[in-house]
Amino acid sequence: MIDRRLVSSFDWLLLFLVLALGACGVINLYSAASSFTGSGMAVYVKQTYWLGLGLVVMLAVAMIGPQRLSTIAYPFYFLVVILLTAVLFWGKVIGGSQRWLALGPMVIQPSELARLAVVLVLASFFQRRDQTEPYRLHQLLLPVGLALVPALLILKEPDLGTCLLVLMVAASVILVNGVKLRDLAIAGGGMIVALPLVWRFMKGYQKQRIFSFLDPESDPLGSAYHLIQSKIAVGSGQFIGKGFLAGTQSQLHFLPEQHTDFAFSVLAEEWGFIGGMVVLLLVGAIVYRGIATAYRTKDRQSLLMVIGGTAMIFWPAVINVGMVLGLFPVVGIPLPFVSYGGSSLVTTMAALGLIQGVAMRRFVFHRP
Amino acid sequence: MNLSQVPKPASVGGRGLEPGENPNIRMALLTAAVVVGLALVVLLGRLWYLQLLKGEHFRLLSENNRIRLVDLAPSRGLIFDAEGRLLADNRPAFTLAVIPEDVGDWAVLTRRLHNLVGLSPEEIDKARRAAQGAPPFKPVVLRNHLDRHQLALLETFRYELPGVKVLVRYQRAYLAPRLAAHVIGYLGEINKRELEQSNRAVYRMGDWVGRYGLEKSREQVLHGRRGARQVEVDAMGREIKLIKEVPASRGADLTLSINLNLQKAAAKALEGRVGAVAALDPRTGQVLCLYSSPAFDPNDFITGMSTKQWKELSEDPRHPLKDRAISGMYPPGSTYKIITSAAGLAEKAIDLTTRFFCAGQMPFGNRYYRCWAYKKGGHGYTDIHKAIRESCDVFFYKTGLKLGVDRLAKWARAFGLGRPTGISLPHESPGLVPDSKWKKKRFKERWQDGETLSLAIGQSFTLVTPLQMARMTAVVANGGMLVTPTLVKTVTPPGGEPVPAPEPVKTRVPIAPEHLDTVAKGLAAVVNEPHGTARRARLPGITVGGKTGTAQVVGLKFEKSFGDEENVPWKYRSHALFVAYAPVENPTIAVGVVVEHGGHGGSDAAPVAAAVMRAYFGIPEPPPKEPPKPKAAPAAQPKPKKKPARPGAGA
Repeated sequence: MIDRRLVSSFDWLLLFLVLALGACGVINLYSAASSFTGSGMAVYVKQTYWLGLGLVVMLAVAMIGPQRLSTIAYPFYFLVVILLTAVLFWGKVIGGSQRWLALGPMVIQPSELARLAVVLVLASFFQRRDQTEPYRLHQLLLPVGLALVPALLILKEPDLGTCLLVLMVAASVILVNGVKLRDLAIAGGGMIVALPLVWRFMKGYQKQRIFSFLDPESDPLGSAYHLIQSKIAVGSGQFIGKGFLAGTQSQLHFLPEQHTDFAFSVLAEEWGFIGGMVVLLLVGAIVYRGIATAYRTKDRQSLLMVIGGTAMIFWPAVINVGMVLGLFPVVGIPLPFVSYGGSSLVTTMAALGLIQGVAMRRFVFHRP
Repeated sequence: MNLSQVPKPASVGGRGLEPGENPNIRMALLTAAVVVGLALVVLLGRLWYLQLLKGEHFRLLSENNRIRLVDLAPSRGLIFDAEGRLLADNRPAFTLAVIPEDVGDWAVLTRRLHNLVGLSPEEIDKARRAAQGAPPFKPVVLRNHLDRHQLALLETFRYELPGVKVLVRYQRAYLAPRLAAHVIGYLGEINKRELEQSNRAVYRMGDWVGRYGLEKSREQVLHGRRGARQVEVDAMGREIKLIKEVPASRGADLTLSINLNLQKAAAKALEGRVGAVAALDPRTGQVLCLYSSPAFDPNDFITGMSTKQWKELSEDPRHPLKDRAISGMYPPGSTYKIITSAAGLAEKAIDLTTRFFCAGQMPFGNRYYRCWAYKKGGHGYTDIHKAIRESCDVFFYKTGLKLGVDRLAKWARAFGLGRPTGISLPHESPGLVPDSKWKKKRFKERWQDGETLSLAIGQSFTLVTPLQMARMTAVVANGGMLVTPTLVKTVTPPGGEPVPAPEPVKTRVPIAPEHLDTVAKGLAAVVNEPHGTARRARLPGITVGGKTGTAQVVGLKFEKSFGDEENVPWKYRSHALFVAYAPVENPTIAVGVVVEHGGHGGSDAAPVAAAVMRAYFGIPEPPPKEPPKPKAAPAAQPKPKKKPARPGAGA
């Protein structure tokens, strides 16, 4: 059944990069979560299992390929929208927001699937409206709407970080897909004009939320304190780091969420600039591999799926590391492969599957 | 698929160019590559800056990480009664805690603490184990409620106890504990599940949250906003420098419409008995009195109860924790005749000229339905006014039959029965309004006309709460408005002006004013005319309207099997009910009273309502001169309080 060319065209380098980054993540989690004396399986073991499951998901998505993925794009999208709606009614509340949905014994986080669904549905949408010239504004209303629906549902949970990610991934796809420059300028200008209007209609507590997002210093309880501790952790790592399991900031729990959102600061503390650089370069290499694959695509939906998949890895990585290093406000977004988290890992692997699926078929002709 | 079909660029993408050939897309991809490159450079640059340029500085900071975050818990909003009396306050309480990483030698500390405050090594171990996984600079509580002596010792030996801290916490104190226990409620320490579900900016481990009463339903308003201080500490763990502080902002204060004088009067009138009083202002729905007997002391929940205390409280057969005023469900007895009258008039089943003959009983189906005045030979010819005044059962049997169950149910609902009143307290019961559909669903049986007879005098399946009774009476008192009972009059944000609570919802009951007026005149006659059943509810100088009710708990035959009324065991005695409003000319208070197994509405419940209304109008109590009353509820502690007897009974 499996075409030999599919195997030979498989992007082994990409797989190697991913495995290398995943290994860095597991090793780091061994340290980051070592001082937790919780019950059950150790976090790094769980992450290894998730990595294994993620690889299976990646291969499955790659084997299915862009063609067949495109045909299930809409049903999948609507399923995700239904799940996101269900979460608002029946979701489990953890830490003040409602993100998890219990389906029998399984607990899923539908917002993680949203990015994937939006990428697929946009790819499928533009494939049907393929054109050489850049798209005009009125042609983009529908796709923007398709991205906004899940994004707003996620915002309602509330999960600002994931909402932003969905929008950024969708924006990447739409921009690479091509927008007439003049229209892009109009849209950008429109948004700038609309902002003060939106601001006027917002309620006091909503404004307050925006303030504390933009200026974490105003909330010394949470974010600002976390940020200081994270910067101390990263900075004190210096060039070669304090050594594996020897990070004082992390081992003494000065870091918040150190096995999830702040995993990178543990890594930078213990492995220093060398370790941080290796991880960033690995992420960069994966992203460039994605862009290179996009260059060689033969049809629009493959192009957009690759771009979407790449954006799904690039944006969370940039936002997470930027946050940990104190460049961006604190938002709860995990670093792909390095932060602990099953849903996030599996989704990221599915994104890689999109890239691989296209890369595998680069010498195979198919009808779009 | 074969190799000959390998891409022919332009032919593939339909109308468009192949993406790789499309100059626009090439441009976009190139831009993307540049953006990615820039991002990487920025991140690596930042890493370089933090780790290499500033690395030395941060290394130093991390080596003696001295920046601590100290939580500032907000103080809870206060609660006042309608006249500004403080009901719930915050008083300082001292807690012994220890900061694990500053301790040094645990063995030494354990020994010293044992000697100073009598903490056993096991207690300390237990607390430490419970705090495992928490950051080592977070205080671990070793003992709550230090007394002054312990406090002095700890302060004296402060320098020999590294890591030990005495935390001052403000603790809730209820100043009228047994008078408003159910309304105000109490707090409990937040549990793990609640913590997971709540916003981390608002709640932390060790916080206290409302568990019952207004403390629970108004938790959000009362709680306040947490503050914090970033401080630098020395090697002993003492704060040496404040870096930044955001003060906690306290919760808002509540001023209730509840008046403590009325609560006192209710508590006194119900002392030693099981029952409840609800009183509200019929014009606004503001609740003036909400009392449930027996009560409990909410302070016990704050200072902690022994297992024995808790067992006593929770296993007391009189259920002191239950708020009977809003969640006790009782058959309304004859107070339901207000509904039957209103329904009969509104549905034109009866009018002012309707006269039914009461011979003391009425044959229906294959049995006789008695009037309570059976022994006296009945009421004779009876119109609506006399029927209400003397609570003639036969008149209402006949009215009920004309109406049928479903029209009665419709009007019961219109008067607010069968659903929660919407008062902002947890655990409110909806009561029950039966109709033919309900019976079919519940018992898979048809509604029998005989049941309509019982229903019309309030003895069927109908269940009401004392608050619903007061609210139903308020409809008659205020000329047809169904009010929503509210407890909070004003909310005062910290440092701000009192903000009146939003106007409660009122709905108009679709009944003609003259019909309500007929009912109101009947209710006034109950108290004020000869032969009225509630002459015990009269007040000097103020005209009261009311309706008595006696709700059988068991069948009449069974009750009579004990012979004399005094011999009926307490739990089989009828509930005594009474609803009232005053002054009838311009009503400002509507009351509902239930005395469980109290006997008769007129003799046992009406005086309770009278006492509450006396307190409301500021009428001094009459001197007690009657002999003691034998009927008292079996108290859990054998301390039966003698009550003055009120001879003369009504229905």
